[in-house]
Amino acid sequence: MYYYILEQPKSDSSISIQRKIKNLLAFYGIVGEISRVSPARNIEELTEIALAKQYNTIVAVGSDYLVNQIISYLQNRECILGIIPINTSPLINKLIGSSNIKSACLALKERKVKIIDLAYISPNKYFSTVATLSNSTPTLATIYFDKCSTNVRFTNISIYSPTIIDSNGEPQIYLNIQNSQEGPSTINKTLNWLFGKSLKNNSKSYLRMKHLVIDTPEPIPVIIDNKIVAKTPVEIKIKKHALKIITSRAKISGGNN
Amino acid sequence: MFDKNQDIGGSGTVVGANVKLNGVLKDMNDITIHGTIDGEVISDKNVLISETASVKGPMGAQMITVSGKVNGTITANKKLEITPTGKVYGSIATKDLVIRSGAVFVGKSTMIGHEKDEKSKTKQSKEKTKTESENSKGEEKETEKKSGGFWITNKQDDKQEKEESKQKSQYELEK
Repeated sequence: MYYYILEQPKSDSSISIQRKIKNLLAFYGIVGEISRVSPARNIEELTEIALAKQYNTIVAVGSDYLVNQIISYLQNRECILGIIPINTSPLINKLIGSSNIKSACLALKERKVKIIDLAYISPNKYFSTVATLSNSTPTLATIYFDKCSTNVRFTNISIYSPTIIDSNGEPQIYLNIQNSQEGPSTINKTLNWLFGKSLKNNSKSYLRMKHLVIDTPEPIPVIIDNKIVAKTPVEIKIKKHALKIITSRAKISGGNN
Repeated sequence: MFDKNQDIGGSGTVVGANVKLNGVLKDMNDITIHGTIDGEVISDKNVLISETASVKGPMGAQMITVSGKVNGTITANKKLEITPTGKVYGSIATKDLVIRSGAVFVGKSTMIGHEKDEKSKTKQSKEKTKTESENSKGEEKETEKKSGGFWITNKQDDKQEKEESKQKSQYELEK
């Protein structure tokens, strides 16, 4: 039933964490086939093996990079994704409702399945977290989204997947544009901090859209999980009901004591 | 590189101070504008136009607060407030209007909800004047009949009198 894909351990602590996970799986009675990513077998191959063996649940045990890679390979396949987070971002933890291995293993046992929407960089690079474009100096970008367009100078653009954004039911991509050379100066910030005042930075933009195209005069890399996945111009869209994942059940908190 | 504590921001849309958008900006949540919009702004909730903002085009929301410059029509279903630094050039329609001292407003204002009262009032007054005019015409006819006299006579009576006098004269001639 469960096929576990473990990330290649990078240190002794990673190995001990993976041992703990195996013990927890045995404790909860959800042991399945376990395989580890290696130079001989990459993530795509292991995913194909699991699908060929007709496992209905593939569990990613590792970081954001492993999770996003498996998500891309699971598109248009009838398979549920489980996640046991190891050094993952708060975005993945928010997605599955678990921040530690014990609660994640319990979630796998309880099997609450949720259908999620995903963003993807055309044609087929899916991600459930965030994609970023960065430049040390302000660069001009032309952004087309829905029925709008804008030319803006940026040093950092972050594109968040609809998976992690609360948008009142309608899946949307969330765009954050920043220019580090704009906004209040360091002196202003320091003076306001000394006098206990908060200073708003009106130079940041937060936009929501269903479809996005970013173009720049020179190609700029788009990075997901510290890996370059594309270069501008990029087109980012939403795929609705793209994947089934296992999440934690909501816990009922007791009253105040 | 990837920062695990990146700021996702609130639930609405924020247009930064040095951003210029062209087109239709639409959001189900609040919209805050610090930059420039050349087009339409539509929100299902609230819109805030800050002091540095400039909007050229129609705007629609439940509550709108203008502290910058707006060239276009504004429709605020609940409330519109123009602060001392706000400038609005265009027509506005709202249920509750607040214009602070120092604000600039050049255009036509319509209060939503009260325009129906105004229409029904004008309709009532029109009907009233119509009935009054009809009554006054009727009264004039009656006064014409009653007064008689040398100058004012009933034309029908005149005709009858003439016919009678003709008949009399004929009768006398025959005699």
